Amino acid sequence: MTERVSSLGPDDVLAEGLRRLGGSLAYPTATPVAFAVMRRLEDARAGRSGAIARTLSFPMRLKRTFPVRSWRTVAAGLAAVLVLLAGLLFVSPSARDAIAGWLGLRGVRITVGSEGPPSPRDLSTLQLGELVTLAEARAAVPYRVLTPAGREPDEVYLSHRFAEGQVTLVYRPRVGLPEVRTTGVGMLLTELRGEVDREQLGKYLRTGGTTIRYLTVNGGQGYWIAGAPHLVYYLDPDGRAVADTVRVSGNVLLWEQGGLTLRLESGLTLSQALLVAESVR
Amino acid sequence: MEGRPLEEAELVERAKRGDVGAYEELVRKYQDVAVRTAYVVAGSADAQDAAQEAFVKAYMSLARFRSGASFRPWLLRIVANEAINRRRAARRQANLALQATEGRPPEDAAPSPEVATLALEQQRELLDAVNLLRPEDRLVIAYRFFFDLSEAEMAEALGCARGTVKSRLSRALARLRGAAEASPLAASRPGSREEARRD
Repeated sequence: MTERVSSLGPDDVLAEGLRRLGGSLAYPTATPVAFAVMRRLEDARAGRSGAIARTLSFPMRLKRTFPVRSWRTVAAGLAAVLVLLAGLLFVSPSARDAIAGWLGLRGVRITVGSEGPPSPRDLSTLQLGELVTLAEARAAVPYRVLTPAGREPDEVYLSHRFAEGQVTLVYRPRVGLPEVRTTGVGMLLTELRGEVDREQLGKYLRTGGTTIRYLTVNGGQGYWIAGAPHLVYYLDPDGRAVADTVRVSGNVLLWEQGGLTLRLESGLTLSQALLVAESVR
Repeated sequence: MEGRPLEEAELVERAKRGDVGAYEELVRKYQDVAVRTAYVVAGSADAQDAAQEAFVKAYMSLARFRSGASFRPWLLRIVANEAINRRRAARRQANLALQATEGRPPEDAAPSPEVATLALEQQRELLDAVNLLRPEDRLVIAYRFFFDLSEAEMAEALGCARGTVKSRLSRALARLRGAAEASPLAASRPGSREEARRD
């Protein structure tokens, strides 16, 4: 008996070939999709007239650069929420009790609590280190300083609090990038070498006005800390607490990337912060 | 409890009640397979936009989502419809392409140049045949072999009875073989068009 077999081979060979082909295709990245979808849903929820209907007919193009325009959409509302939560924190003992708790990270410790200093509005009180240029910061640390796509930082600070240095990129408030009331800046991106101690993470987490969500950011573990203001204590690479580095933060996206821990503090929504994070190179 | 990943069913129920944050988790969970599905149908030009549109439409259709059902195939059906419509509207060929690392046989530690070349040629031939298929056949093949969907998921995603999945897959593979016979790449390879095998 003679059976004709095409160039694609028997069924099992063809099946294996198709599986390999499926893993070798040049699929477009899905990174911008979630942000674009959530922005449209947020627009619709905020009551911007016909937002969904319009975009269904004329879908917006996905943006891969720094989302300056998109920040404008939530700035006012988010600022109001932060002010309200900050007020609760300092007025209500029950609110203070409710937001006690902490997470432990090997590179970074996040503390949710009420024992904070007055909110600094001057960058010099944030103890970010010495003011340098981006080039100087890059020359001073043994790791590659990453930046979000599309925008150079307004200021760069280098701290030697850690043996391998800590770099903070500062972005001043502008249209579309709301001022975080407690820091007076639009966005801070802090980078240091360290990684998350997952065993400690969430062990002592309690929730009050602060929420913590677990995410995947650029393929690594990430954490979104939002809601009520919280305190942030940095630890050195050996896990020892570094004193007097406390400050009050806006919403924070914390994630690991290439051996670094990055901390993005801003008044952006999660979707917007993720887009910034995903553009970091 | 905050911080603990929610089950998919819980996310869907929350999203149905208007919890946009819960829906965002679903979007992030399935955006890769959504874009890939759209890509298989419509090519790279429309894949991201089609996926985006499908997620918005799915959100607005959540009330019609049957509680307890699997979200992924339900979503993929919307994605595929969106991608097919876009491809038809654009009236253009939506050819798929290999990654820049094309031809590297997976799991092979150090293939010889001859083996690597042969694998690349075979993969190109297969891709050439897939590119000749209509979107519906590409989808069946992609669901089964690219994304490893179960038979039940395929039925839901394709909008057909579970018993018809095998026959649709069989027909799609037959058309793939036919397309390979018509492929210029296959025709250019001596002896590859067909061979006689004695049982």
